[in-house]
Amino acid sequence: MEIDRRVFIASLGGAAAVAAMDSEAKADALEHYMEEQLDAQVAAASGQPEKFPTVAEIEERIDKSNVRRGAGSLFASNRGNVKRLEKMPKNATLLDFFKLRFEPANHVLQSATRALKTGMSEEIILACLCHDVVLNLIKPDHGWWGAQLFEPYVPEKTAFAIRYHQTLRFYPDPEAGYEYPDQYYRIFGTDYTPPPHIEATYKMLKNHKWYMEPRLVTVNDLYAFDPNAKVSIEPFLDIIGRHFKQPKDGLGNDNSPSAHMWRTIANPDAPL
Amino acid sequence: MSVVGVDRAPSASLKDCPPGDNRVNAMSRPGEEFAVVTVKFKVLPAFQANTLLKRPSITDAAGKTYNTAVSFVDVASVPEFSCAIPFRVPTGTALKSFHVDTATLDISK
Repeated sequence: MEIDRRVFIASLGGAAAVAAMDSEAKADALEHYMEEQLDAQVAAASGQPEKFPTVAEIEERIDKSNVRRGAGSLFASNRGNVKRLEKMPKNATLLDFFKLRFEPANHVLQSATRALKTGMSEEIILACLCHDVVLNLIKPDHGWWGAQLFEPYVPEKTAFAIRYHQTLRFYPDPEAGYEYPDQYYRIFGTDYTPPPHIEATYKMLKNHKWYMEPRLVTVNDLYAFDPNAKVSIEPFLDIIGRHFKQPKDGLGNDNSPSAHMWRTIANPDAPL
Repeated sequence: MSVVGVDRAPSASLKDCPPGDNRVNAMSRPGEEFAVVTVKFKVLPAFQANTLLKRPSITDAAGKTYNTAVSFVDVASVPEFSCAIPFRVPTGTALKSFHVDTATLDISK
């Protein structure tokens, strides 16, 4: 089987992530990747569409893993051991977190790049840049957790967009350019229906004057899974400078309502 | 700009135009399908690199308009390209025209 080295490395989170893996982890990752590729090639060769799991099939996997699906990426690795993290600087900025805790952050950078190139507002571009980074901390309800993390530092519309993109991603809106993605069949199951609190939130959002703010985050979200895209944080430095209220004592040290969340991201190896 | 063809499918690859390698596909619901309009583009020297083009749309035989999730991104980055642009429509919808900004192309055949 031919392996596209670039795509493989990108699938692991980039060259820096690969460099931090030991030999055993690299071998495991390669084997896992080849199995996935083989499955995809066999399905394509047989002309059959991909078979997506049901909710029950996904639930059957729960006790076959030593990590829960909701664990943040900093706390669990599905490809070998977690890596040793560089220490955060004393007065850590958002950029320090991007570089030392969120990297490679390809998905959010791609999403924000698309928002920038399609002429969206700076509040939305910032929301796209921040919308999923809380997945490093925790995965369930990541819209709410993510909004809580950023709320003290970003415009109200940006926090609103981060909070509610989680809800709107389950509801296609072709008028706005949002389709239901196949990856949700893979992640949630083909017969998944959103829980009542998500349904209720969707009903509230449909009539909200800011409906389009989280909707635009979901629109850009769909197009930000390109393993070959070249992205960086550089194009967003001015927008961060204009809209992100960087605390002078550093994120985690400013006694804001979410300072403890930044400290947890900074120190995920703390035992208590 | 010229239309190469129109295909019908239950799912469609979501790639912007010009296309990259995005890995996400859109899934249709029962009673719907994607009308995937393949369009060839040639970028002329006079085209301004920072021009923002609106998302394309199609119109069916009854005059109803359908939008796509696909956007034009970095159009001037390559001189010629082809895009497969999906539109979610009720199964079997007869199509009439494809629109980008002020340009309209016939897709009724």
